[in-house]
Amino acid sequence: MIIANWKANGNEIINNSWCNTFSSLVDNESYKFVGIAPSSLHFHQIKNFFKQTSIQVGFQDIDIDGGSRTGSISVSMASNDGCAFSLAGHSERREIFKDDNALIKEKIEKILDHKMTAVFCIGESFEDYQSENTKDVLKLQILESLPSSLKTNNLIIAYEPVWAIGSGRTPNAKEVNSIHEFIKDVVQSATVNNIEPKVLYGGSVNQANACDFF
Amino acid sequence: MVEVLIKPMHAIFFNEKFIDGALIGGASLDANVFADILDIYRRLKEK
Repeated sequence: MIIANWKANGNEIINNSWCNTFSSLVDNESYKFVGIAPSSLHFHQIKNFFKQTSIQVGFQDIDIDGGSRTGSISVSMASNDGCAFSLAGHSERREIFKDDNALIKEKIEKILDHKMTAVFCIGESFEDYQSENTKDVLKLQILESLPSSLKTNNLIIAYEPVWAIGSGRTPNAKEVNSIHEFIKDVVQSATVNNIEPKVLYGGSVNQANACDFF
Repeated sequence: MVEVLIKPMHAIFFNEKFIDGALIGGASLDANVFADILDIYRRLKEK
């Protein structure tokens, strides 16, 4: 699966142009491999545009509860409006909004309870990478956020090697593949039904080193 | 600012057994790039 995370980008005009361009380039069969996470503000615009297709439209983040939580969108609101999936634990949420493993666990549980797919994002810092703690950090993130009674396959893990940000280093395919294998092993060992999740790669680089990167 | 950039040339990742797809940030804002990545993903995963 290929998921687009638009972050805090887009407006109705830009989004409409994107959708028209994309739909002109992609055949119907390809849509089933695609997920799009626009801003919550534009969720319905994208969902309506692709309503005749199998594209999944989701959220970039979700709140664990509704009611008196100003500024939030609850998981039940998202579910009722046809949200297919939600990210949880994206590195920017961890860094900027201080989402910790315990909160991310609650988000994942709520997402799964509402029959949506949880895209659980993990990744190690540069310091962790330098000290060769990558696998320990990833394992801890998984074990502290994975619902203990996970029995569903509606879990996707996205591995973002955050250490690439600003470091000038980039992971190669073999490195990423090895980490993905490790992630699958950890999840299988930690779940009742030995669930093997799909693992997506999210390669991160900042704008300053993008020229070198490419 | 954090950007996530995976351009078509990096879709070689999809050759790897345990890489099931990608979460794409900044590069996904360009519909042409995103469509290219999707095309490569399909060709490599379905071969």
